[in-house]
Amino acid sequence: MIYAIERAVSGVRGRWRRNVLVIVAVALSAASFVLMLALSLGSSDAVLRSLGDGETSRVQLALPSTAWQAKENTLLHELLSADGVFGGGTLTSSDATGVTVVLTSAARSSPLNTAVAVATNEGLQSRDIDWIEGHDFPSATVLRADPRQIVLGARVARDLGVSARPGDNQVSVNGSNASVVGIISETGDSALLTAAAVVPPELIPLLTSDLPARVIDLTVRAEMSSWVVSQAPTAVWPQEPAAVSATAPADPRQLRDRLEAETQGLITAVTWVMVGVSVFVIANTMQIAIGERRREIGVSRAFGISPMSIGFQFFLEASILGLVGSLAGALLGALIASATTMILGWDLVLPLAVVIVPGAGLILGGVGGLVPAWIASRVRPLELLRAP
Amino acid sequence: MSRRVVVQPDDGPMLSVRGLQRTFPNGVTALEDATFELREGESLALMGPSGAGKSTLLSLIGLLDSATGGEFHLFGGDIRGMSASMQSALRRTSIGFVFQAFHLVPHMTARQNVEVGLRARGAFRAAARRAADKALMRVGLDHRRDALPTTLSGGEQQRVAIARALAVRPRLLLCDEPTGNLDTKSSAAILALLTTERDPLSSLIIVTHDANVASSCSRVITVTDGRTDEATR
Repeated sequence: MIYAIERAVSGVRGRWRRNVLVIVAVALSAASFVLMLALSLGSSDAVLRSLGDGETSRVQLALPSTAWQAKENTLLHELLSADGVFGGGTLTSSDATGVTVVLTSAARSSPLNTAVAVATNEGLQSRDIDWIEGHDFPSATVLRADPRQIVLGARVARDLGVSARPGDNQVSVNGSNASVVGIISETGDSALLTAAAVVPPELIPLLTSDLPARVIDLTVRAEMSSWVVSQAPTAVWPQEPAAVSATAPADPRQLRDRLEAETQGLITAVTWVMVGVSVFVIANTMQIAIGERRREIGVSRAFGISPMSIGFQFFLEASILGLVGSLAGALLGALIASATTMILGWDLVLPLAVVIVPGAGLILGGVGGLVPAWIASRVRPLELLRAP
Repeated sequence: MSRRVVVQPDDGPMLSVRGLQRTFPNGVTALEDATFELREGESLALMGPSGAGKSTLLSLIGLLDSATGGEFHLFGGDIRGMSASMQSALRRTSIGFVFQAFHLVPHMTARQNVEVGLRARGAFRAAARRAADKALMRVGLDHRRDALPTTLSGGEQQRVAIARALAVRPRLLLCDEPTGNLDTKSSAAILALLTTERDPLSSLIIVTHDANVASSCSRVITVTDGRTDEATR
């Protein structure tokens, strides 16, 4: 047994040039597997992050137009005290309002038709709005006294040539003066409002007689979203819950799981192909090695080394090739995955399954060596010694 | 450790073949009828023209090939029906070979080639190395122990092959034309090694065309057209 192990190790070292090629082939397969796995998990993790942190979800409530007269803290008081509801406020997008206004400024006298979104400070905060300059709306008291305070998306501010600085922040909204208190960035969630004029709820009745539904954005714990959807209508609008429509996007974690399942199906298919190629390469190399070492096998057999020992020697040689190749591949794959995810700004996610790659390589190498080993053990010593 | 082969010694011959035949799958009969016996310590020369079946007979006796007919007893045991593993064990424990073509493993040094039989018997590396060095010293090649076969002359290669065979102290030493590829001087040296360095109790069978080699053996059997015939001396 010990001598068979020594012969196997010697066989791997003795033909290192060809064996290095086999090891490289196996290593590339193993590295591809690890890399694909890491990139798949990293990408779905990144998708999850882009949809939120996976722990929170958003629920949108569309209240009837009469809800504009209600104070926001009155509407949300009961809901915000519920466990798992982190915050929220009015954020009715320009698509939802369907309201447009005509804007002009000192720098631009020609009218600019602009869609109107309605938001409270809480609503803007729930979307992590970034500000280029200025700030969010003044307090409710100030707004009740003078509701003509607006926030502009970056593109609208640029078109009007205004800023949020005093003296340069005056615009005309449908012919009435208003002050620009802040300008919203064009990146991230803020991009949703880049082409809109955002007004406080106090101003919308002055802009249109056909009031739209009031949309409230809530940030809730992901697993609570279904509960919030079912309970929110009664909590925010008890007088007519049926008039409230509540919706929640798909749970990002479910999306990630589906994405991972689909990607891993592909990875599994590709892995099987690579496993087949690796086993074939090892089997082919061992077959050639046995052909070249017929004399060595013949002499060994003539001096009494058993067929089983000869078979074990070549089985072991193939297993060593599989083990070394897969170990190198796993490390290489992890290294490349680490560099790639670092460049892409993803987290490196490697499942525990990666540690079984070398073990799998050992077994697959052995499988690749089985047939050549069996053939080597079956040949009569005389035939081997007669070979040229 | 090496597996022990249970072949009980008795008072009979070490080797006994009767009507031994070998017909190859292509229908060619290389050995028609080999009948003779060999006792412990005897030396036997197998002579005859090329293609007569000498090497085939030697391969059968060395359990490198299987007979297709006849009786064959070795060390008191019947070889017919013996498994390949048992035959391997018998070769490992009791038989040594010296081939005409040397059959040294090209990527192994002289020492490693000699170690093959010893390691096959279960010797650990250090013990095998010591025994191999001793065997190489006996054939006068201790200074070339780290040389690869390709760097050795024909005579040196054959001496390594003899060291490999003798190192395991076989009960039966089989030599297939050990001087066939050598010049006269080297042949004489090889012959001297086989007669002087062999264990006195071990038996020797040499296939040879050389009358000088045959004359050094206690018996001579002629093989003609696959049949053996012992010459009286």
